[in-house]
Amino acid sequence: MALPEFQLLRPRTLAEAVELLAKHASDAQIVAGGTDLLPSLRQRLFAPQYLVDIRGVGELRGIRPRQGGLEIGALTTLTAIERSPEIALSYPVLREAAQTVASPVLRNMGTLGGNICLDTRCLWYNQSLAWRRSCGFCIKKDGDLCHVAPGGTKCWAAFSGDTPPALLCLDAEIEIAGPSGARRLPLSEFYTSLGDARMTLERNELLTRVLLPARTAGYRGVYRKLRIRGSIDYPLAGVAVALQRSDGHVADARVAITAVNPAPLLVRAAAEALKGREVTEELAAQVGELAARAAKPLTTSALTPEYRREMVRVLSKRAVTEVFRQ
Amino acid sequence: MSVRRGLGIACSHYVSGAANSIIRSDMPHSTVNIKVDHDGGVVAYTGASEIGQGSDTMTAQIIAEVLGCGLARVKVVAADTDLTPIDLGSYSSRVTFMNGNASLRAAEQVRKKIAAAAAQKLNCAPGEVVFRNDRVFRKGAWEQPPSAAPREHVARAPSPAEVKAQGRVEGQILRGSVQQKRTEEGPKDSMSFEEAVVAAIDFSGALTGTGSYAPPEEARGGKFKGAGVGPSPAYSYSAQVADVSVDEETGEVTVHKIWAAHDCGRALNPVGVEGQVIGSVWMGLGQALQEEMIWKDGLIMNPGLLEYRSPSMAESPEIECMIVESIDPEGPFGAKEAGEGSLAATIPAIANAIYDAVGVRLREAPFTPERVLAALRAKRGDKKMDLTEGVDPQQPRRFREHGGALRFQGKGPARVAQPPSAVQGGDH
Repeated sequence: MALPEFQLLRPRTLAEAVELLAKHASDAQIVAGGTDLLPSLRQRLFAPQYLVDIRGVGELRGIRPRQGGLEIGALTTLTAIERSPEIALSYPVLREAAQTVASPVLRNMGTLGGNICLDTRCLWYNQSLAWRRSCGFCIKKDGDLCHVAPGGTKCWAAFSGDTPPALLCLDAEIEIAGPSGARRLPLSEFYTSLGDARMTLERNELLTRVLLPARTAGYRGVYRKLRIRGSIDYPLAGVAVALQRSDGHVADARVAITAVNPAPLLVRAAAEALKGREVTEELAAQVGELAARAAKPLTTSALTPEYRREMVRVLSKRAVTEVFRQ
Repeated sequence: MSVRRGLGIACSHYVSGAANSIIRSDMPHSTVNIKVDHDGGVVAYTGASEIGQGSDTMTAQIIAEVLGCGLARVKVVAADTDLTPIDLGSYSSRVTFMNGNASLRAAEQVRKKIAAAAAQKLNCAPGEVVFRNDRVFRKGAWEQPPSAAPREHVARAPSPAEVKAQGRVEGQILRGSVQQKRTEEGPKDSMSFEEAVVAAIDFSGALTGTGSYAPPEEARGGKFKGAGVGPSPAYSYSAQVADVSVDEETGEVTVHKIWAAHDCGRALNPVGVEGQVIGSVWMGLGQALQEEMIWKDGLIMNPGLLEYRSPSMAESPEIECMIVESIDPEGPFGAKEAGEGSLAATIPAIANAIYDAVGVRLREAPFTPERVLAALRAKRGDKKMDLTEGVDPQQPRRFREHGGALRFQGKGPARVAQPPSAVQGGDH
């Protein structure tokens, strides 16, 4: 499969990038690491006239302290996040999640911004044009039906990023640059739960920074990922847990799940159940139940939906127990 | 955490190539041509395809062994249909057995021609000529080198010191031999390989040999029903033990170590055999745990290597290989296959280890975590996991279109291929 034809635009500053996006909004797509976009271009999931390669915009790269927390440029590679001592110290859950993304080679290229904006995935969608044509095009691309939920009109493609559940646990905010300046919003408000319109990012906008607050610095955390192949796999289910302990009790906790819904989700009921309590086997099992209830896996990915939901339960239970005992 | 460990053992056997050619003809299964040049260089033309299994090395080794010359003399020209004779190909673990036998026969033909010419120079009968250590001797004149007696069947290239002692470098060979012809009159005890080659070329013009192999009639199964596919001139045997652990909550199976013993007849190249066994076990591991083609209404759902998940380095256990040598009467120097034979035992060994660990019998591969978990639940009488449309993975009774996991239930939406009007760009 060859790449479609496109024109590569290479801005050097953020202002230039925003200007290019404003000019070509309807025909342009952003490329950073390209690890997710390039295979999709080959499969003709996208055929933009312009690719805006933002790798030259240096100001979007790097990890910097900010108001007791951290500010991470959208272009920071997953490898850089994995190796950052500040993140390992203050936000271990993000480090764990970054470590599990794809393979080391892909993490050298892939960026945090790219992982946040990752396209949703579906077995019926991430296929070549010839395959999709022979099967019948679906809602997410070119068609009007859904192979996963026949008769439905909603796209259920699964959000398959590893780092967003960790960032949700850390109450991360993101900054978006557009023609009318920068706006900031909590990451939890960024996703829409629609597989075919996964995020509230306009076509002329650009994710620039991720802001980790001082409040969640030092939260212990783990990320657990269901995968078949150890070296490189998208998550088939993923659970991030971050919590703060005081006096043998949970002072504050977050549980987030990924790869089982069209968006990464904070399991708010689980956070409430944990607050102020000691994590016992029963409580961990209860958290697992709550997480599994929030998960709506469908036949978008390998393994059966029922098994993936069960794994959300088991992984959440184990993760909460593990973090509490750390 | 509820992780249980278990050991499993399994045995398997495999063919060394099919006795009946898949193309239903009487043509030999393998043919090898050899041409020997004036400078003592041996060129083998073989149709066998080197796909990483060591087929070229095997051909060179067998020829060098028969001619008693160094491995470095043999150049292999392989799988070029402009130049090489027909070979049925690298499949069915047949190359060492079939092509090895053809190489052996071709080399024996060349050896016979050299022996006939050398016998005159050495003043003995052709049957008394011995080929060893890059030299040709009259029987009885050859003495075992004092130290490090080479194993009989392993051809060895002369060391630089030996070459120096012989007082020649390549290029001087021809002139040297001519001078020798003039100056030396009486019979000798031995001569170099090049001298013998030149003698044979002087004698017969060109020095070439051809060898073919087809399995003997009695190995072909006669008129028995099913004999068309099953029989082989030799069978390899494999025994394996797998050490695995099973997570009872997730159904995930981890393979820690596999011990693989393989009877490959004579191991022509022990390092090559070990590599082949490890590769086979690894391939079996994929079949046992991960690899599955999933079909839905005639479409393959996992057509790429992203979704068709072969095991990676992360899943690969330690593999301890044990070569069990036996001498097969039909194989070249007693060799049998070492291609795919070790693959088959891995799967039941892992299945048995899972049974040993958690007591569930899986009869449907791959043993994915969901199948293991479903079987565990059925055993415990827990809530049933409906992952295979009510089919018990321990007792699959009917063929299902898309392999085991019925993740795609029902008929799905009607397939009306739409005109790709909305599709930009061509179909490449």
